[in-house]
Amino acid sequence: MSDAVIHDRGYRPYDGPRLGQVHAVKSLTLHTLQRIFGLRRQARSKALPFIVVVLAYLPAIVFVGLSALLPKALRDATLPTYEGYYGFVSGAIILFVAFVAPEALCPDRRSRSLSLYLAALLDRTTYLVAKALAIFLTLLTVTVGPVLLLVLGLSIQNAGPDGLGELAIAVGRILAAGTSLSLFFTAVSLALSSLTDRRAVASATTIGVLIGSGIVAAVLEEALKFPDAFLLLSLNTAPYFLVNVIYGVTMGREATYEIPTLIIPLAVAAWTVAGFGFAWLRYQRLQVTR
Amino acid sequence: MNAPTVGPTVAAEHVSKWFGDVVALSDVSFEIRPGVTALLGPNGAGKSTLLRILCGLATPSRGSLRVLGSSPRDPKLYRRIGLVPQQEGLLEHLTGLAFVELAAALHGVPSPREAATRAVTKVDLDPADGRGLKAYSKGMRQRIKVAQAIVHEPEMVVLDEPLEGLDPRQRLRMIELFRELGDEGRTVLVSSHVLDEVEKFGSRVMVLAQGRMAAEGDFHSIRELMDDRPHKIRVRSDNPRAVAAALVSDGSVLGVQLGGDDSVIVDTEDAPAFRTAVARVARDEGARLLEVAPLDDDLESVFRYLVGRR
Repeated sequence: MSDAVIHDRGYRPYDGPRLGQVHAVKSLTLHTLQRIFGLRRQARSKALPFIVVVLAYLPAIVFVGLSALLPKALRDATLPTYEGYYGFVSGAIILFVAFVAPEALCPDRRSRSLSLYLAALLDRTTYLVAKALAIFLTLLTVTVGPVLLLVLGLSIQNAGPDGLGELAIAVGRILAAGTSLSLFFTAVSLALSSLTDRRAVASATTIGVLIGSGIVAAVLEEALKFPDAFLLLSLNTAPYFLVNVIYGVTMGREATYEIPTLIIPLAVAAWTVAGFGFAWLRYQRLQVTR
Repeated sequence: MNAPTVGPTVAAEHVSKWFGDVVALSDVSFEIRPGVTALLGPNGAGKSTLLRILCGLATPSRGSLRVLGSSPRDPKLYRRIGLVPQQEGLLEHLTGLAFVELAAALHGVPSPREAATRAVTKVDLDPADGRGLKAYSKGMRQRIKVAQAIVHEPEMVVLDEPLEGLDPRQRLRMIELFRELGDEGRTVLVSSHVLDEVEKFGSRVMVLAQGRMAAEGDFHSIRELMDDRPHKIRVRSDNPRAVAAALVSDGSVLGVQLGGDDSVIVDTEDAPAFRTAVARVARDEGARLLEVAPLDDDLESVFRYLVGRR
């Protein structure tokens, strides 16, 4: 008897498990993260995220190295405070903010692949949730990672917080500050990137709005003598006021302004909600050809 | 050689292998028994991936595969199988005999020099050849790779494109060697795309296409199973027109075409019934049959059919 057999290689319907909307959001988030960091793409796509990450972490690495070399007195005078570290990396953060959200949002609209996502388990809201999550996680790498590296590096050399309790408080503050910064910039950049399907325009707009709002706020507060709270109109300054609040800073330039402490988190929260809300509305009204 | 294994030499169940987004093998199940088996498939069909899994060089992403009753990753298994890889991986500074002797020593063969001499002779190379491998021709390199694969008398020999680079005489000798190994009770798995040579193995084939098993078994039997495609048979006769006219009305014939001075090309779904009918028709018409030959029973046409269908 012949044991020959020709197998059916024709279409076979999928009969495996279906993982649902949460899995779809997770997949899109991971896919977007890959795109942002240029993974599985050509080398030039990896260049900018790599440079930004290096710019954000390099000062932390240098400070940890310095702390090992310098005597204690000199070390305390040289090393920045944790909240002060953002002064060294705010440029990298702006660069990342201006790059990440346009990279995450614009190509889908420009290549008209948004309709493909919406034809699957995702709707406009869950699509935006996935994108926002990817942007948020990406920004955490420059808002939390470097400061965390600094505090851990210093702690290993006995130059960090005294005792486990102090260390836990410092780490908690770093996480809270980094999370609030990332959330704020995610909302702002998401809103601005929802306005156009061209990445370069979205990036330029984001940088322009961040810097321009700062100029407007400074003019209002300094030239026109508006109350100091008007500085919270500056999208590049407001979240750092909140960082100071989180660290309980009572000295320094920001602390010299007379802004009621309660107003700062409220203003930052308002900006954040406004950013997410604007992006959500924009995507609800977006014409998508299916 | 060790005691023969009870059951199939290779048993694969629902084996899949993927590399990131690329699916190299998809849900492949099969058994391989002693004798020569040819693994066929176009480039990118998953042949090399399957051979790599068989030899323990890669693990399946899903499914299971047993070779001689063991996991392919079991180090003890390596003494029972021999591999001829497609890639060149020779130690160029060694002579052919020294290279094979090294393989014998690595496999723990008691008398490496004797075993190497035997294996080198078996592949028609001269054990006394003092040249380094870098001076060997492509065909000689292929043969020395086969020698190192059989030097430890393995129960199973896996050969990835072993006929590549060989001239026709060397190919025939190599095919003879595969047959000899198969006749000795070994399992010989040969991957090749030289179909007219593979056909000479007269062996069982496994056809992979796009990572999936398209067919397996004796290829003549596979051809019989291709019932959605009529057999094409050429009938040569001294009176082709009369034979053609009579065949048209025969139930076993789907179509008839005059194909030249003395030949008729017949399409039939039932080749055995046609062979009986054609003799009767010729006798009734008083025509003499010069030849009845199948036109598409060769491996290449079977292969093209299997790979082309969905």
